[in-house]
Amino acid sequence: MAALISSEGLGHLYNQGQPSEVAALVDVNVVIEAGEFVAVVGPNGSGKSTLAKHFNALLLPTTGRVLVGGIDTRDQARLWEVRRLAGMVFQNPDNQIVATTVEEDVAFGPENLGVPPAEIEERIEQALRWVGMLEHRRRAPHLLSGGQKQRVAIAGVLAMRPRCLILDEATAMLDPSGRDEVMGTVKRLNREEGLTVIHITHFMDEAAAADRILVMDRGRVRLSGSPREVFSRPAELREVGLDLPPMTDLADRLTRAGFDLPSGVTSVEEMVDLLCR
Amino acid sequence: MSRGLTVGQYLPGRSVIHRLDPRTKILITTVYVLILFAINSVWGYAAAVVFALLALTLSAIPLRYLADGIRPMLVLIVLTMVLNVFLTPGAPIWRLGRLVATREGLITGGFLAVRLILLIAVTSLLTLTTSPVALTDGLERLLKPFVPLGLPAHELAMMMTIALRFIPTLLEEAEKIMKAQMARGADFESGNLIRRTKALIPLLVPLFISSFRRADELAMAMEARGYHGGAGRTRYRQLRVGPADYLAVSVTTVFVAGLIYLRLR
Amino acid sequence: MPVTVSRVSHVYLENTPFEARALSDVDLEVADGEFVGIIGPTGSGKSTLIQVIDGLIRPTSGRVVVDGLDLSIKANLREVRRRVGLIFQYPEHQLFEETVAADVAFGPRNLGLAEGEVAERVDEALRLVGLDPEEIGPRSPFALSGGQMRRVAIAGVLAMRPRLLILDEPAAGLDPRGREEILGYVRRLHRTLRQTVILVSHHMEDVARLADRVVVMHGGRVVMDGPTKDVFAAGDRLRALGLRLPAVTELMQRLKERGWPVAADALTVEEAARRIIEAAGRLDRGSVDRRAPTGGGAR
Repeated sequence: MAALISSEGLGHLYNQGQPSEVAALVDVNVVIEAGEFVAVVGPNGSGKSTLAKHFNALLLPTTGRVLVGGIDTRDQARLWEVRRLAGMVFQNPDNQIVATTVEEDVAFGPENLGVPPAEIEERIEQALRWVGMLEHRRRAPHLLSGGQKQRVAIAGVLAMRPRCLILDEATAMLDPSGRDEVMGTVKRLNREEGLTVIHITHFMDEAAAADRILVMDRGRVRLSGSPREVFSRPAELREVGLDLPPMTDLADRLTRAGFDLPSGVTSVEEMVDLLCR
Repeated sequence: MSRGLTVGQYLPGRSVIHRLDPRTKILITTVYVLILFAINSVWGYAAAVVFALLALTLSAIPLRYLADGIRPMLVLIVLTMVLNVFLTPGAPIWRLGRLVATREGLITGGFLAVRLILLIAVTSLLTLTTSPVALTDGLERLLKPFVPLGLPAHELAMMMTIALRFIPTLLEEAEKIMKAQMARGADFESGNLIRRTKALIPLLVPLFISSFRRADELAMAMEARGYHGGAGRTRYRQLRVGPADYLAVSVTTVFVAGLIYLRLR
Repeated sequence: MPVTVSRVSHVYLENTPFEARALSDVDLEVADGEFVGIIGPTGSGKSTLIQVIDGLIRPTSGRVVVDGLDLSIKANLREVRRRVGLIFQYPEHQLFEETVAADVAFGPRNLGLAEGEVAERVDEALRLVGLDPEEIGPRSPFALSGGQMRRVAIAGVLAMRPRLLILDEPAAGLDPRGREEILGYVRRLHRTLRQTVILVSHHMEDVARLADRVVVMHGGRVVMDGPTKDVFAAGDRLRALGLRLPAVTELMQRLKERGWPVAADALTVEEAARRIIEAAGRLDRGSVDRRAPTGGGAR
């Protein structure tokens, strides 16, 4: 599989040269393959959100470089191509909806790309269908729930035909049903349409659904591996300041009490089966 | 609370007027308002009234909505009329103490009142039959020729659309902040005007600050979706002029021509 | 700080096309010193209910008495707002003053207290949320981190010395560390100050850990009300209402179904671990076949 997004020696300094200078990212080297579902986790201040913004050139590297679809993000001439390839959905459901109706907001991206109006109509329909919001196309955004708004935001990105969807803590402000809606939609898009997904979150149960987890700690990638691999290092996760999914925490304690359990257990079903062996 | 409000008092409908292109309606309204100031004969005003009544009938808007628009201005209209009646020099027809009502005053005052009422009625009709988004679109297209001269038509339209989009959201937020401050003992109701204005600070400051934060986040989201100004942008919403628009423009042209003829006579 | 809500109903925008029934015939009693958790899907009326208790919403029918004060008497409302500290979601959105000290002082000043007393309360409140009044008092609230801003906002309510604290998702939007911190303060307030607390949350694990009693709301009604363990023991009922159980509680219930000799009401990971270790010990001694479901089946 080809690398869709990669970073080499990526470093990012905020307020460079001033007394308040802060290193948000230090020597980050990641490779995201096409079709992967990668979760990036870490506590506040770990740099995960900063990293996400490098993937669509909202931020440019202080050191090192970032390639998106083979394009260096510092290439000003191809900036809009980068943003088309890697679309981003943000944390606040309200502050990314620009138009007065759902369908007009989904049209916003294609309009910016100069897509002809007839094609925009097709893209809107397809995008809204993918996220399950087609019947709401004429509604005003303030009448929607948080989960619905985020799905509209996702549709707005999908209408630009990206290869990668970046969710920057997009579930942090949602209630459980909203989170389920968004995660369900995103997983389906990854599985059925092969959309690469980068999911920035601090909810460990959402990270468990990913193919791979990157754990960020103070600007560096501390751990990288499958959920099973990552969750088998509970001491390190706690040190970084992250939660363990409850089953993983339980498995850890039982193992220390002498139980023979595999590492990285995350679901209740799995735990029940293991204990009833 | 904000769920029930419609901004700009737009009343959705399917009438002939509703379905006209917004550009047509904006142009006709502008021309009408301008020509009102050129009328100086009874026949002229009569024609203007007929035109307005025609538009009103075709729009199927209930009269009370127009009445609601005129009512707040009623005091101003009556005041203007009265001033004209008594202060215009001419042939006296009635005395009230030292005030003299003149015939010329009565005519001028009457004309002025009719003019004001027609002005309010027709502009209200515009906003009642055209959604805020359609108005913004229409204005943007109409102002497009002035873009090379430096007029930021697209940016203005974008600002208007965003403002319209966020009004209900901001109202909701204002309500939340108000409740949070009331829970801390804030009192927005009692006291004189000065006191109540000061009491608004704990409401307005957080609202302002959150609005700046919103703007920042929204700008970033717009950039992430490829926004880079008006250049090279297409529009999903297409405005289309149809036979009804040509008819409306023709009727208006005849009307205006007639008035100019009357004026020159 | 007793609260009595009797047959309260509330309809928003009555007699308009946008009419919506938020509460139907709600009865609720909260005793002094209790820690009550209110759970329920979005739209179940939790938010309306807590605003009714604080006198911010006047219910369309029913009676509310808070600490002996009848809320239908307008003159009582100010006093009620003093005794009830209501902390909404994302309380940092209400910060507005130039300094932290001034903002925390807003509440006490509205109560008409003398400046000396106000300063004392500001100090006390900031310390209750783990902030140093000397260090943070003169700073602008907007120059702080998100977690700090939230604590300042909470201090602003605590400075009124409320006898009942109502919190709506106090840890919303915080990372795991931040969540632990805030909930730690809440627990401490309850334990050391014997504060009566009502916690509204979607986070089952939090409610399970902190609350003595859980009230479940659905469609504007109270559908369950009882001790925490009892409510979470009714797994099927909660699932039917669209709510999840804490993961460990669910695990224990499933294990019990499979024949394990465990009480199915563990609420925390620690508790579950202990029970499983103990039960496994007994199973190993051959007293129960751990694979057999109760009531027979393949062995």
